[in-house]
Amino acid sequence: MKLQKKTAGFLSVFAAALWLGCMPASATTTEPAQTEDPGIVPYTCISNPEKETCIYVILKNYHGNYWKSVIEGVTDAAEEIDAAVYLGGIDNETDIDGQIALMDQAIDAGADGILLAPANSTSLIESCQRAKKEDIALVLIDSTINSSDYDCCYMTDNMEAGSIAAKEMLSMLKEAGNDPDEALEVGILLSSDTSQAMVNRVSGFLEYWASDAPEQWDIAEDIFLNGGDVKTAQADAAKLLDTHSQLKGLFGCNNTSTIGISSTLLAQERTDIAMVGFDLADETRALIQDPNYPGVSLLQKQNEMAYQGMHALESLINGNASTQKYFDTGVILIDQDYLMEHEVS
Amino acid sequence: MKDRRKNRKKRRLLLALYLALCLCIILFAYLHLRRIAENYNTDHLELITGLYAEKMNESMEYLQNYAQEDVTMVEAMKDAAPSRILQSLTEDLDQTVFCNVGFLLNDGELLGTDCAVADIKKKELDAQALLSGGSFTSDPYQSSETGTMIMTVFVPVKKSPQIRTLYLSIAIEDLRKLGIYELLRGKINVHLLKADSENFITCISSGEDTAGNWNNLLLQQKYFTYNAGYSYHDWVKDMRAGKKDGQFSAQIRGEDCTIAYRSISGMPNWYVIVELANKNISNVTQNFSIWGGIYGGILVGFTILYMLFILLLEKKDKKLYMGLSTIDSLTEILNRRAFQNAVEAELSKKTPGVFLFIDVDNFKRYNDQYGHSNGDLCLKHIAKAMHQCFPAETLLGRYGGDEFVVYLKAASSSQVSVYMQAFRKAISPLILPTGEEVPVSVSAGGASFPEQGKDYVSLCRSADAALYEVKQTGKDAFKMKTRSGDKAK
Repeated sequence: MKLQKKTAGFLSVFAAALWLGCMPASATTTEPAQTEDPGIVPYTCISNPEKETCIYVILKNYHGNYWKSVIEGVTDAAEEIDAAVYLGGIDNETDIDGQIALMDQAIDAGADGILLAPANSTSLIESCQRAKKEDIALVLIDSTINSSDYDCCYMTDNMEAGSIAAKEMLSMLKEAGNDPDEALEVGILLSSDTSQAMVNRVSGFLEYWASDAPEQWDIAEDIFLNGGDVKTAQADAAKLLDTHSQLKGLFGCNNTSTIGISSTLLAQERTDIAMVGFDLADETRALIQDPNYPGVSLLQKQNEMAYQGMHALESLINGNASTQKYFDTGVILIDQDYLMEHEVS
Repeated sequence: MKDRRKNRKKRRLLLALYLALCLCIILFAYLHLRRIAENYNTDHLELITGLYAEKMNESMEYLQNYAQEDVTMVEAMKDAAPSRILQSLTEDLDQTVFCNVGFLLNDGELLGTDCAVADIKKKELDAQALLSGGSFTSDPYQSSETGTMIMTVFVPVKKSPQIRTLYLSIAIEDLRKLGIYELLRGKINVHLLKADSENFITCISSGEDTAGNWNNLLLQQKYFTYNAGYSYHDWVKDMRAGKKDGQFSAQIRGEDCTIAYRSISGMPNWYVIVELANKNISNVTQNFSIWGGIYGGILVGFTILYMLFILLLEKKDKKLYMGLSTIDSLTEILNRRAFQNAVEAELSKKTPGVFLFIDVDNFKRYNDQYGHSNGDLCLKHIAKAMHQCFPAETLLGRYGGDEFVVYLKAASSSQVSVYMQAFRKAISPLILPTGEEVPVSVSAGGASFPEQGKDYVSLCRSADAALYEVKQTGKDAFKMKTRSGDKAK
């Protein structure tokens, strides 16, 4: 029921966007002058344009299922909040200046609250400080900034998620009958080592591994970066399987890496390799659903981040200060049981 | 002649030795300065690493001591309710440094702020405290209350009926603020590294964008190139073995760096890592040695130039002295000895020539009549006429007094007669400074080489014999020596 509601909300955003796209620019956009930056997705009012209280949502990406789900969470919350909600953002996560410009626009337009998915942990500090100086409620989602100039932050504790991944990996390896006294290796694949989320997942994984894995079980030292390319991820997974004879597990730190691992294991029919990944692409789902393959994936609750973030913003605007600043929205463990359960339901 | 050559060689050798020595000294000085610079860097790096480690240790010690003082207070208030004691401690808490204080009760219940309790439970630190008999410090974790990284120290409370452990949290940010030195801002990276997992938190970053975040050493290895004799495995092995400190060089992202590590006494298994790009700290010292080298090079260059200048001057002087010893100062033609050397050199080529002996007629009387200065003028006049009348390559010399000698190269007797005729005509009259015209004549005798003499002495003798004959027959004439046995013409 909830899913249907969210889907409807999501569709309504796109329908609204389509409808507003046909309207004159003055009707669809806010008062502040629009920047000429082509990477900026201008603000669009997605609910209650007549309300005096204004909330500005600034995203750092508009592509992929992850961000669609974030928009879904924002839209759902917007329907429940008694404020005008303006949705904008940048089309490319590297367009930091674009996001700063959107922050400035929101502040200049007299925003009561801002929901920000910061594209950079240091470059946005000044904008956040300015917002706080203007007494604007500021909630961060997805990632944080290297400063305390915000009210609260909803995101995945990726260190914790990495630890959960390691725990699952160890559990599967033990279940598969691997001897703790015999040498064994686990490979790690990620897209980029500049993404703090991925780095934290690796760090969390290694932290748990160092404290809980048998001494003979090692991490393969070739940690490949696939740059977000599935084919590279597949090649990296195949290379690890070829060159590490004792490899018994693969950890994919993000969607691309997990797709690369899943499709390679399925193609090579390597049922002896345990996989722990992130996100749930079709290839990942196929591997997890096949009872011959030991594999699980972790799914972030990005929808929750946005939804809870919006409600926290409303609460802050209404004068209810939060004693908690950092909220771990957690991850969902996707295994065979979970998939079966959700198929049934 | 041989000695002179030998001396010259010796001088050149000494000069070369001198220059080589200069170069060696400069090279040595450069290397020495470089070494001093490197030592300077090493010393300072060790100092910096030590300083950061000390700061960390001091902070940890402060945290422990503070917690211990709180424990003493808890033990003193043992009869009060734990919530009452906590309220008292919270009120007294130095909030500029610490962010949380609380208790773990004997029944396993946690007292403190909701966030602090939730975080401790999530990290299972309460379970660890229940198992642990002594104090311990948690790994850094993100506080849900502040959103920042914190560490929590747990200290057992022994003399309390209800409270088992006291915990006290400090923000990593406050720790790292302690270690920021303006002088090193943007030049140094400082990390706190846990040896077993190789996870590290960047406390100070030259790029600033990674400060306060987690990272992992294994993940970063692709950017490291270790210098010979050391490796990633050595480093990790050393730290896991509990080595107190160490230092090594490596290239990180293509940049030469020095990395130093030191254990943190209050946090077993944790190290302070200081990473310093060599270019940052060694700029001054490197410049020092480079400029030392440049100035040394300039010094050697100037020394070489100076030596060359001295050599040039020496050569010039030598030429001057040689000139002075070969040229007759009055007539500016060759003196007797130089003329002999020149003729001997010519005779050695075996090409035919004619040797002339010329004597100014009645020069003594002329001197007496017109004075010595006019006598000198007359001799100069004769030499000038010789230059004018004989071919350019002719060797001209003053034999002594009023006697001149000439050697005409590749000339026949008939040609010489023509030259002599012109010469005798050219010398007379001599016009004195007073305008008076004075008749001048010469007597000359000639001898052909090799017919009338095969060497200088015999040629000279033959020409002198011919001259003698001219003088005997009334002077003012020229005569070639007749062939051996013939009478002079």
